[in-house]
Amino acid sequence: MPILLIMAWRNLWRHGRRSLLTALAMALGMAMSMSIISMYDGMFGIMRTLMIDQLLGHVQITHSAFPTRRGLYDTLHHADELLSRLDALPQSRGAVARVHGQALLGTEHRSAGVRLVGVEPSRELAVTKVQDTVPSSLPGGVDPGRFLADEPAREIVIGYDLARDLRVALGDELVAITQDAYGGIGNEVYTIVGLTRSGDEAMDRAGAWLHFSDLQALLALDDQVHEVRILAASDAQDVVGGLLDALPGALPDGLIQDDDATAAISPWWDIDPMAAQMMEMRGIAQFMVLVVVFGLVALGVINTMLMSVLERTRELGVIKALGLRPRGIVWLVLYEALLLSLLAAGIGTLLGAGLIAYLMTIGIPMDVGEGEGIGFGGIVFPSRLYGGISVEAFVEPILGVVLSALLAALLPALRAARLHPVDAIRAE
Amino acid sequence: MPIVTVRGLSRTYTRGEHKVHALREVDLDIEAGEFTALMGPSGSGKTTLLNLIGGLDAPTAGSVVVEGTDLAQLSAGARSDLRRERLGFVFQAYNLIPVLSAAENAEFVLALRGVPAAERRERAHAVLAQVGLKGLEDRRPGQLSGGQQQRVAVARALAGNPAVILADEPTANLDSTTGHDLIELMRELNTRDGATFIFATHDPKVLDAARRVIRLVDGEIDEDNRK
Repeated sequence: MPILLIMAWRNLWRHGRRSLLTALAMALGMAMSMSIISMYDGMFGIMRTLMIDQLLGHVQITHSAFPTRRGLYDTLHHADELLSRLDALPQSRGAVARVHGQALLGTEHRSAGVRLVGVEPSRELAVTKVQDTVPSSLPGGVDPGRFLADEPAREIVIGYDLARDLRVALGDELVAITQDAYGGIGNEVYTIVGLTRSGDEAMDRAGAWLHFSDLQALLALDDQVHEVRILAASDAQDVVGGLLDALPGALPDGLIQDDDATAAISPWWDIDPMAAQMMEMRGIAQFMVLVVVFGLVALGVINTMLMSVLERTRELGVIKALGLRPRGIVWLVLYEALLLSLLAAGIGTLLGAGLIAYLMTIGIPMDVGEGEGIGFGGIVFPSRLYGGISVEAFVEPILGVVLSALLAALLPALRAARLHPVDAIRAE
Repeated sequence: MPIVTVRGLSRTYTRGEHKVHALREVDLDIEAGEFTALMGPSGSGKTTLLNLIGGLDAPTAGSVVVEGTDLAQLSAGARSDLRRERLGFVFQAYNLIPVLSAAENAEFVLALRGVPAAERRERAHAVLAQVGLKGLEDRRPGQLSGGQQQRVAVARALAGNPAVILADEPTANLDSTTGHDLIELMRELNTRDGATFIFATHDPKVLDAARRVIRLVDGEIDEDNRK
């Protein structure tokens, strides 16, 4: 082993308690940033699942006027053929077709304007898992029921909050009244089979799910749909980009039957720029946390290393006089900081792993009442938030602690390298 | 050719508004194998001359040539290299590296030179035996007496077979007997191995042992006697 490394290691233990305390402070900073990244992994994981899997998909194909106008007539034809072509794309994990509508939904006593979404349950189960919006339990022991059956049976699933507004329960019947594609009045009676609590505030308060054949019948849309959404094989930008490139070639003839319209292919970040911004915020927020935590770590290291260098002024002068080049002196100090940071990284990884395990299994209660968590940007989080685990939750803090220690030691190291041997040896 | 050639060497320090002439236009040749003592009262310039010969300090004027190399022509890094490869130092206050054992201190310069571990360990044990510290190789400086520490310092200076060993008041912190033993040791190394020594000293015992005594007064050579 190089003699400078041996000296650095032993120097660390000359003031063992001071080194250990510094390492412990560094380790605590590291464990803290590991837990914060873990909580971000958990929270942004929920946001991602909700936004991409349930709300947006990676890419949506619509009539070019639908995204802005959301018109009843802005439809796609031959959706079955489009879906089977999409299933064959390697960049695609799956695709679903949806029908959208507005209706007055109510009982004989109460009613509300509601957004209706028509889905094909068997396809959704494999792709968007929209079935998960019906939770396994609801506050006060209310039975949440189940999602729609695979075959159209005039069933309806409505938001839990909407059900409370309408004062209805599972098994009750609801009447939907709307204008159909021919300008007539469409109306039908549906049986409530499930209640959703998805975290998507809009759907939970004023939304309902129908089998898409039932909704097509209500709106007199025959076999037209409003939207085909595709989930990419992964969230990676290049996979979604590859999917976007492949889609134009996959569109069947006659998809759009308006002469003055085209098919719109929109990635999720264009459909909901705010959602995209929120997902991007994660990187910035995480970076800020790392900067603050490791800025503090660096201050501690500067202090320890400056003291260590000052105490050894004479010794460093002697080493220089014996012929160690200034660069060697820099390395001697940096080795010491490196070893200190590796010690801290070891302790910090253990501490951090323990905290992450706690956050993943026990989590943090965030109940703001009635079993609901905090709401943010149209998303309601669960009442207990759990941490996630990722490679970066370990790698970034370890790199952070090592790099900040080396950076912080650079100043004392350069100071040591500039020592004049004659003056240094004379120093007491 | 002399191993060290000093010509017109001056060193002036600025202390506030005062200029202190520590050394004034000194000319000096040291031949290989000489055992030279620099003597003189405090402030006469002994340590300054030693530091300039060792490349630890830069002159105000004049030149120092060690084995044909003019130190003024060297960068700071190259002066480090010269000290490591060609010079040995013994300081007044021992100045061992406290975290290293006696053997590790003795082999320190060899380690900086990149000599393989086994080879330098063997050499360190040999020089420690030479200075009478056989069996104490694994002790840290804190576990050694002052005399033993200074012997380790001599061993460290010797280990690299330097052209010149520069020793600044090596006996100043030692009691009389220990100091005497150390001088005997260095004298023996000089006669037996031909090592070149230059001392700065007040110690009459060193002066007795020296074969050449140079007396400095106010930064100038006052006397230069070979015995």
